[in-house]
Amino acid sequence: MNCEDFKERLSALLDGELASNDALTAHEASCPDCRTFHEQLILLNDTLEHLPHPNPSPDLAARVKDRLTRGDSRQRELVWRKLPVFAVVVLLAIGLGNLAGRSISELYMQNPHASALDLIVPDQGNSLSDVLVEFGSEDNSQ
Amino acid sequence: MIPDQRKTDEELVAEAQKGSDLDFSILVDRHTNAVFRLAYGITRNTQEAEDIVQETFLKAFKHLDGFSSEKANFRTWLLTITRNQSINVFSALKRKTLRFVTSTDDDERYYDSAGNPHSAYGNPEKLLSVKQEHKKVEQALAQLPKRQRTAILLKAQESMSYEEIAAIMGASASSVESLIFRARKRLMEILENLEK
Repeated sequence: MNCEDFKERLSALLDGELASNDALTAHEASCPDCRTFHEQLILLNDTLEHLPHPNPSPDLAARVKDRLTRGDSRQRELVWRKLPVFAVVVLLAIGLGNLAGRSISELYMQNPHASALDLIVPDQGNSLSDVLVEFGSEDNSQ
Repeated sequence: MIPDQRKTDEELVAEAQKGSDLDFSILVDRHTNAVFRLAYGITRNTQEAEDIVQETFLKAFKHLDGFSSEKANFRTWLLTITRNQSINVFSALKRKTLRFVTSTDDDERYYDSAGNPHSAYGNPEKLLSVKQEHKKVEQALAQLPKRQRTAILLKAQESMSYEEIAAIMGASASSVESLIFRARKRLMEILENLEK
C-alpha cells in the first residue's frame, strides 16, 4: 500500500465507511508522514464539525409556514388534479337527473287518464309544436 | 389528532400527504436549520440561504404527493431540492460576482454547531483568535470546488453517510468518497499556505 492509498482509505475509515484492516495499521506504523497526516485529518474533521455557522433568522420557519398558508401551491395543484373527478361527478349527476326525468315522463305516458296538460313534460323530448298539436287533437275529439 | 413532535419524518409525511398542514409544519420546524446550513454552505450568503429555505419547502410541499418514503428518506429528498436550488442561486451569484462576503451582521449571528452563541463571547482576545482561525477555514472552504465543498459539508455538518450524500448529489458512493478525500487534502494544502 502506498501513501496515497493509505490516506484515501484513512479518510473513509474516519467517516465510518471502512473497517480498519491490517494493511492500514502496518502502513501507518512504518510511515511517519502518514501518521502526521492521520493527526492532521482528525484535527481538520473536528474543526469542520464544530465550525460555527450563521443561524437563520429566528422567524424563518414561521415565514416559511406563512408562505405555505398564503401561497398554497399544492392546494392549487390538487384542485387541478381533482378537476377531472369533478367533471365526471357533474356528468353523472346530469345523466342521473335525465334518467330520473325520463322515467317520470314515461310514467305519465303510461297513464291513460293523464290530462292533456300533464303531457307537457319538458324531459319527455317533445317539442313545443308537438305538444300543441296533441293538445289540439284532444280538443277536437271531444 | 394533535400532531406529535415525536412522530418520525415518515409518519409526518404520511399525514401531510393526507392534507395535514400541521404535520408538514412540524417537518418545517425540524429541518429548517439543516436546509439553511446546506444552502449557506453552498452560497456563502445568509440572505440567499434564507430565500433558498423558503423555496425548498414550497417545492417540497408542492410535490409532496409524489414523494414516497419507500424510495427515499425525507431529509435526503429535502436536501436534494436544497442542493439544486442552491446551485442555481450560486451560479447566479457567481455571475453577479458577489463572492464570499462575511458581513458584520453575519458575524453577530454566528453560533456553534449546537446552535448556542459563540463560546468565546466574553473573552475578546480568545474570540479574536478563534474568529481568525474560523475565518481561515471558511476561506479555505470557499476555495474548494462546489461539489467538493457540498460533499464535505454534508459529511462534517450533517453527519451523513456516503450513500446519503451520493443520493443528494446524484453521484455514486465511491465518487463521494473520492470527493471528500480530495476536499480534505485540498483544505490541508490551502490552510498550510495560509499559515505561511
